[in-house]
Amino acid sequence: MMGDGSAALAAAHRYWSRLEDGMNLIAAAAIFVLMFIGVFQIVGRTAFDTAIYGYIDYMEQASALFAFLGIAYAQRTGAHIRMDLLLRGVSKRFLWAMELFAVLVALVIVTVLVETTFENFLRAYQLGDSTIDIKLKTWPTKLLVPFVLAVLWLRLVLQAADYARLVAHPEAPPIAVPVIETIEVQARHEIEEALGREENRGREENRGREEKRS
Amino acid sequence: MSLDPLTVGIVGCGLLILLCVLGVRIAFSAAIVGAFGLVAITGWGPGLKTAGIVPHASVVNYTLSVLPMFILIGYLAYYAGITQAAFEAARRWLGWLPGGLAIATVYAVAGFSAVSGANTAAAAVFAKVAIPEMLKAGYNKRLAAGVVAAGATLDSLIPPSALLVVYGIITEQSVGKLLVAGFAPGLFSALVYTAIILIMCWRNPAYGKPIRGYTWPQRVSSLPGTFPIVLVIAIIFCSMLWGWATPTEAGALGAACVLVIALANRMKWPELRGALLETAKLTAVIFTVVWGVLIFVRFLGFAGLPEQLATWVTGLKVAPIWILLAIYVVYLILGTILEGVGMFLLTLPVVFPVIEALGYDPIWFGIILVKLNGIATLSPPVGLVVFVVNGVRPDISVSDIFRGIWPFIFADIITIACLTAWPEIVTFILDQAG
Repeated sequence: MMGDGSAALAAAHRYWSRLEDGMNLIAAAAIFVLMFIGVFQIVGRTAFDTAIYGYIDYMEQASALFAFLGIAYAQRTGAHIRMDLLLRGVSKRFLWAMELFAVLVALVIVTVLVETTFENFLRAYQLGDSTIDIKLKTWPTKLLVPFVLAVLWLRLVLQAADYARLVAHPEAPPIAVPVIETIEVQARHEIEEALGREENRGREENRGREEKRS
Repeated sequence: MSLDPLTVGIVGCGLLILLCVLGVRIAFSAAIVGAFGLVAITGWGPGLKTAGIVPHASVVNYTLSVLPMFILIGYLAYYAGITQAAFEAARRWLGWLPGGLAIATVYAVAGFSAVSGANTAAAAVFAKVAIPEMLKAGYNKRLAAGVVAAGATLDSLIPPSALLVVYGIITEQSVGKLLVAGFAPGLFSALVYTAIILIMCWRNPAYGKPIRGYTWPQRVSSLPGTFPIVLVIAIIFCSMLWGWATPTEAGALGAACVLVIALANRMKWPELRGALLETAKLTAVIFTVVWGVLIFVRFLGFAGLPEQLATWVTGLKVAPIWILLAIYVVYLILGTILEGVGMFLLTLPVVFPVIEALGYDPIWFGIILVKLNGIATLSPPVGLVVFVVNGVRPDISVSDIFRGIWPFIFADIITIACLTAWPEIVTFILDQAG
């Protein structure tokens, strides 16, 4: 299969995944910080009768980080919500063709939105749009939207290329796309995730008890 | 030839359904139909401009920041060491009742499921923890499997509930009120499950015998194990009830408490990192559906479809209760094939104005919908929770588990009937709090 672009697709998928992982990590860090800020706000208000200056405005603008930064990562891992009941049990070629259609539809709207959300940023930048309370500039978070959608756009292009390859060669292994799981496989993954955590816990607790005894 | 906005709205709804059925992600289906629907009604320039404003304007919103906090609580809960302890405490306190182990399972799995926010994970964990104990005590295997699957679906009513937050966002209702209102129906559902188990085991004692022999000191000593569950539910519930904190602040405090407990339980950095990354992914997924659907909602607003539908429905010579029951049936069917968040976001822009026009309480309706979604999660053809239980216990067949959940689906129907007949079950705490 080498020479048909698979290697280039795999390399592009690998490098783009790093960017998506990094963006999702920033979103995760933002959520972690948000948790501490929320606790500080409660403690400050109840114990010291004081509040973080501009709390709501900061929180609103920061929410853009976790609202948008994980979007391409979620697309790569097939996490965005869909109704896939009708796609289970169909022939592989038909499945890949339907997946290609779904990605192309997404590509059309994301292409439109990259441009229109960028215009939305430009308007905010030119007009000096700011928040109500502490006059924070809104253009940085508005710029984040077209940037994140552009990252998603390239992810969708990679997925479209891979699905097109799979339509031509239905038995080839997928490179840059998630695969639909049957209910049984999906259930098995849920179990592995949940019980994996539980078993790790059990092992840790046993180790702790043994350490205490010794 | 130009179409009138209402016709464009109806065609748009049809297209949206078609795209979703064809497997296009809901966020993108809604966004593309919404954007081009806006273009069809208002023209290229204004239509696309409106579509471009929505993603930022709709999610850069303080109310929505509660979602990642609730999701984070769920992912951290796995590491707080609460599953075995919750089951042990419930067993010691409730085991003496007929079918006592099954009843104990209801409360333990419902508590963990509420805090973790993931009914499939709760079902997997308790299928491993509780089913062997019940089978060892000679319990009927259908009852043992059914009670784990059904108990796990009580997650969305008891705070913290991400699904109720999503309902609040799309219908512009108070998230705090919804979180408070869900508690009593969640408890009520568990009590109806208890009653059903008691009746089953009273009629046929071989189904599940009482487990006796625990002393009061043994019972009391089991209580600290339930502390994390009680703490999280109490923080969210009490903060909302008495207005001590915003939902985001209460969620942040709940997450911080679970984090401290998890760290005390030797949670490691890779586990914390994993929990945060999963939280970020799920948050992005929900926010993407939110802004995608809100582009569609903006289009529906221009088309005037929700108002027209509400006017038409209220003009029907049919008692409102029949319309309400028809809506119940639609949600029960939809919920079997569509995940709760997606279903709420897709349907509520059209259904909610009808409910308001019929004069039903929006908070009450949110609780009903979440309960209906719980029933649908259990039901064939998908019933992922059932497959999870079967995956952990392959010796109990899927058909046996589906048979095992029927009494609980019956119990849920009784619950829905009671909540419909006496909406005060939902609203009395809010009324008391003023």
